[in-house]
Amino acid sequence: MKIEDISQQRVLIYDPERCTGCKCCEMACANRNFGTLELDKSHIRIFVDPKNFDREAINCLHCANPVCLNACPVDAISKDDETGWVTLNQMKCIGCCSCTYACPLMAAWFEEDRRAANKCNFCDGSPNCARFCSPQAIRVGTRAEAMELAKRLYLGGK
Amino acid sequence: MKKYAIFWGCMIPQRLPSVEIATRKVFEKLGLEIVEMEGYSCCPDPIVGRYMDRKTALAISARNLAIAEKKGLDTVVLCNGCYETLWEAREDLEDKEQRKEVNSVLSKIGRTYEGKNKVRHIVEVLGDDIGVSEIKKLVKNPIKAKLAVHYGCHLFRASEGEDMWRKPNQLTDLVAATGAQINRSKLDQICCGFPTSHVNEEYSMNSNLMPKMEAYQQMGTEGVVVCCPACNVQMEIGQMSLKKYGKKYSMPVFHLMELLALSFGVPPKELSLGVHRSPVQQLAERMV
Repeated sequence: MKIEDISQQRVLIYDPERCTGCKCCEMACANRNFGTLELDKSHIRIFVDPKNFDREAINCLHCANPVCLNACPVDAISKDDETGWVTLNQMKCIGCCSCTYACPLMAAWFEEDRRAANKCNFCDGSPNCARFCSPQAIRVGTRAEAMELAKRLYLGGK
Repeated sequence: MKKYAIFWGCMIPQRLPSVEIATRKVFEKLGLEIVEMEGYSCCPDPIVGRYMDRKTALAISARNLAIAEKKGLDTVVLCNGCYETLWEAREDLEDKEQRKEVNSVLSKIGRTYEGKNKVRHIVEVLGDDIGVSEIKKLVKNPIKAKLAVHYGCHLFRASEGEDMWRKPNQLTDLVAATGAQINRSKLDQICCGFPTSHVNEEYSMNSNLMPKMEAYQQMGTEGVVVCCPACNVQMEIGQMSLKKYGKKYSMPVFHLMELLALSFGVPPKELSLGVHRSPVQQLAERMV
């Protein structure tokens, strides 16, 4: 079944007002995808401003029209017709880093060990980062819900 | 006399026995009975429990929950980490298949877990069952100090439909009930850095603890109240570790139960506050 309405695609929703900056999501991601707790291996990154304690997350938004996919010269990145999730096949990747530069969030990143890019794969529908977030600052919801929250947070509810 | 099965966890008996002493004194003053959970083990730690074999972690948690369940009581915890682990395990074990699997392990030691009891944080117990107004009535020595409240991440864990600020607000109200002046700020919500200290101590110090300590100092905070021994240890040991980076802080950090005991008129000397690695004893003598 093809996802007809892109606003109904399931994405990660991050609410900085709920976040405590504990980085359990980063550990959960690294553990699931690499079997390690190394924070550098996480597909999601949380930044805490040391001056005013504002929080922000960098994570893949599984875009409607992904720039990383369009930038890849070897079609290593694909967008699933049914779920809308954007995934990267490391067996095809040639490590040119086009995706990491093309993505405005740098959600795709270059993995030194494997000499290939890597990115969020949405944990087959049950993201570990959302599962282990105590204040539920990260949750799974529709893109429409994510847009609504973004408008409230960054455009003052307009 | 109302009874509560208290799950002391690992940190309190091993590293902060003063919190246990304070809890026993506070329960005595409130007219509540502590029922011991004989033979309990580590909850296990949420960081370890989540990332090691999940089935093993669930079996350990279920064994602990079964001890309180057998006594027909809810499990009351004094630690946010224990709260998260046991709460999460209880949720996971609502699933009949998982419970059956865990029970097949527990049957080997003659125990069984049925999922009848709840997991409650001490903050909830004091806020819901006793009430802030009752606590206020028992305050003999109003606290004369400017204190900050550190909630701890796992206190925000809420059931579906529950406001995540319910328990943190109860904690603030309990601290305010002792007469202390509360220095509120955005950083109350920020993690102490305990989870990431398992992975990278330097990163955890620099990204979480140091900015927090810096801000507390600038705000003129005299002490920090926590409701989790892991946050307490992280903030105290962390201050010592920060000396390596040329940062010197001497911010007293102590548990809510110790604050309540002091305000209820328990002399600081009876609480063994010397086990703390920050100047809690000195602050206690000054603020009551």
